Amino acid sequence: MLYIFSIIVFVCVHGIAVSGLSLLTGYTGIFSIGHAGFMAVGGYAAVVLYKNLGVPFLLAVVLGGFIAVIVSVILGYPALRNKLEGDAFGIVMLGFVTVVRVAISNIKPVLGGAIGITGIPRLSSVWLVILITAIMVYCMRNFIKSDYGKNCMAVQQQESAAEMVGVNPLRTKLRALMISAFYGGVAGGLFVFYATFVSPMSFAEAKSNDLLAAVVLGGMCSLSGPLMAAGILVILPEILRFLAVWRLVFYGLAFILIMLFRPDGLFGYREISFKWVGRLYHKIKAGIGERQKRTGRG
Amino acid sequence: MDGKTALLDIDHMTIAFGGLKAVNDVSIQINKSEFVGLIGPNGAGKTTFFNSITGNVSPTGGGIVFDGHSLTKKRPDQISRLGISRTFQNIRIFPKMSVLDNVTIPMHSAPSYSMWAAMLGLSKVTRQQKETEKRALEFLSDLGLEAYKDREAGTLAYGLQRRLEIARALAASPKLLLLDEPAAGMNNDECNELAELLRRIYKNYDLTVILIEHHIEFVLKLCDRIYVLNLGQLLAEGTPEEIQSNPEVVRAYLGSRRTKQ
Amino acid sequence: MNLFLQQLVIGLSIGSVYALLAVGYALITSIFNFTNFGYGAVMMCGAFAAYFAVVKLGFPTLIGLVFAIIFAVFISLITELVAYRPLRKRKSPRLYLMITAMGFNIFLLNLAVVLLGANVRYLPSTFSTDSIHMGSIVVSALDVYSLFASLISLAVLWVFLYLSKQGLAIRSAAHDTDTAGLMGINVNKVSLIVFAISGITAGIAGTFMGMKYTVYPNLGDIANKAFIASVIGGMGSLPGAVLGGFILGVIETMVSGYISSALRDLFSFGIMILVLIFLPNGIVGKKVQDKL
Repeated sequence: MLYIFSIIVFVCVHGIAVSGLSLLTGYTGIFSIGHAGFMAVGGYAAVVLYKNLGVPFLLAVVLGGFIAVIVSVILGYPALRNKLEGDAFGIVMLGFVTVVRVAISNIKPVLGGAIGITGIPRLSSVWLVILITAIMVYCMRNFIKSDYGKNCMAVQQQESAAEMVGVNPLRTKLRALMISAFYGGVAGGLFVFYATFVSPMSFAEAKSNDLLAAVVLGGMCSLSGPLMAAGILVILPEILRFLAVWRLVFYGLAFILIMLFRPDGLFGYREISFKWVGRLYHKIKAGIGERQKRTGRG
Repeated sequence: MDGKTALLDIDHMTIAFGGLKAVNDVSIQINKSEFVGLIGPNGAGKTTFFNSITGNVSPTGGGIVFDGHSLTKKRPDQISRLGISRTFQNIRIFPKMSVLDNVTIPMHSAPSYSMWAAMLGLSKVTRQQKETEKRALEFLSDLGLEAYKDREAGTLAYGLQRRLEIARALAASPKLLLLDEPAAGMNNDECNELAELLRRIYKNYDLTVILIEHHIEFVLKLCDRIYVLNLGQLLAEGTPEEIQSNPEVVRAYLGSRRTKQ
Repeated sequence: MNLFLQQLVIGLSIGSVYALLAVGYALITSIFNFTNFGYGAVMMCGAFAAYFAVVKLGFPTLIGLVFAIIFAVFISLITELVAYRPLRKRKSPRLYLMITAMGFNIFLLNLAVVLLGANVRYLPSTFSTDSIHMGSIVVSALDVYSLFASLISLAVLWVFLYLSKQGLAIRSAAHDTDTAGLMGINVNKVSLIVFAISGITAGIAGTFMGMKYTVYPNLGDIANKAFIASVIGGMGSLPGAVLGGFILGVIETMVSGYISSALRDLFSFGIMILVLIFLPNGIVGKKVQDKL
């Protein structure tokens, strides 16, 4: 049971981070390679706030998210201002992951250096994580469906036209980046308080690639697609343990093949519809009603 | 200009890229409710001229004043909100969004509710969205695009995409509309239809229009006044009749077109 | 003072390799307007080719270098022909090209990890490995060799780009790809030449970096330095790439020598952020404008 629980927690944590990255990359079109860096910032910040400053657990996780937001602005503002912003931002994020790792590995006193921090209490209970995930995904869905989300899509698809009908591209991109950094930071905090330890390797490049893979596979301009992909990408390697070493090889290949043959991803520009559930429900209800009528008559 | 202040006042504007002067010392005044044409051979600097008004290119010299605001230091989105809207030479709609969403974007470029309200899905968000959608539908039906409202914009036929771009430009509720070759790639019938449409929206929306176009008959038919640019410089200015009879214009532009064809 | 001069020579040597890499990368950026994140993997492939030639087949270093170049060019051309070209033909957004490039990087890197193992391999040099005494300073021969090799490659590249017919075609394509296509320049041919050049630079850099730091799947991370160098110099600008490469190399060596080698990457990254804040287009970069 504990094993199932831990998988549920990992799916949820990935789900939070992926829904953030989906807004940034899938909707706003900004390529973020090192998104796990925000998870690292959020996770470490939450632990330090909790352990060293006595901040309550949930508040520490939320504050960790906000610290990730501050970092994202420091990185994002200079890079996104550049006109080749896609490339500059990609490179900045590439450097960011390295820097986070180097910095954390070299700060022994509070952050524990390369060994990391152990003995963190397991405060992220499964139900709490599920609840937070549900709330955050719900908020993201609302945001994406709102006019703010539409502006993000407009900037992604035709930036200069969006700009010329009054959308401020820099502000739109920064907003998307900040929200996605917050999501990453909170995901990192929840993760750390479940794993009970954190080290620079907890959020290495492979983690960033996991997140990016979920968005690329799940699809551009879709939230449910990447969320489902995130779930599959957590569960599948657990089932196919023997393929574990090949996982990243497959990711790389999948990136290339998807861009070549199905560039919008598996669910691009669409949401997985749950209308069939409703239809099924009505059918069953109608069926039951019918039978009741029949039995009533008989 | 009859002593009254112009809606758009371009004063000795120069735009240089490196050593090349794309626009050289051009002064143009456009009054409210005018329909002005801007013609000239390829490379005359017409689109650069538009780009400077909309803030994509900053002039290296001179100034632009619109409705009492200097535009030279402003960003394109700020200029748009002052009331200048445009269409593009090469169509730039939002291809993967629905036709309706294409038209709503300008209306909520800066949403009236906060991002927190959006995330929480408050009822004022949906109310606001319904209202913009209703207004957007009016623009669509005015331009005969209502039937396509749920279509993915990129799948529309070429002529309809041009029309959608005009609808989107109108949705930004402009005072000044800049049209960059709206009739490009259209046959005679389509041109006539477009001319009708432009005349109608010009009247109905109380617009001031600047039109760049290569179909010379199209410009002569629609515009009150025409400016001729050549190699970045203002060659002539006048009514359609004056332009047609201006020997310099005929030599530089109309003539060269005839010999080319 | 001696320490300073010594660090300077080492810095210039590393910087010259960065410059070479940055040029190979900036060429692609300048023409196709996307960051080739697969570049590091190409370099790693070159380094492994050199390793197999020298260690497994017993060839001298110079032949190893040739192996590295050939293999890196081969991989570079495959990425172009299999992925980038079809995507460009479809006018895919830049984001898709970058995701594909990243896909190549992840694929090749992890394939190397799975097939060859993540361990480091010593790539011996058959050149003299003695230290070279120049006046009062002592530097390793390898650093001097790689400095000269990079400088010669850069010079050859310069001559090719500025004096040959193909070079002119490449430069006009870099200026404006669409117009170049209209003017009868075969953009597909140009792309092959450019990706081949990029493969050559990756092969040379891979061999020298392999000799300096050993050969391992993550060797390609050094290409990140080329990206950083190119941001510092100005994205898509070739002189900028060279300048950025040298600046980065010297700063890194100075930081390692005088402050702490652990903080080296922190400094390079910090400088890049500062450049982006104060010189958004880099030191010599031109302003990029969307063509309307």
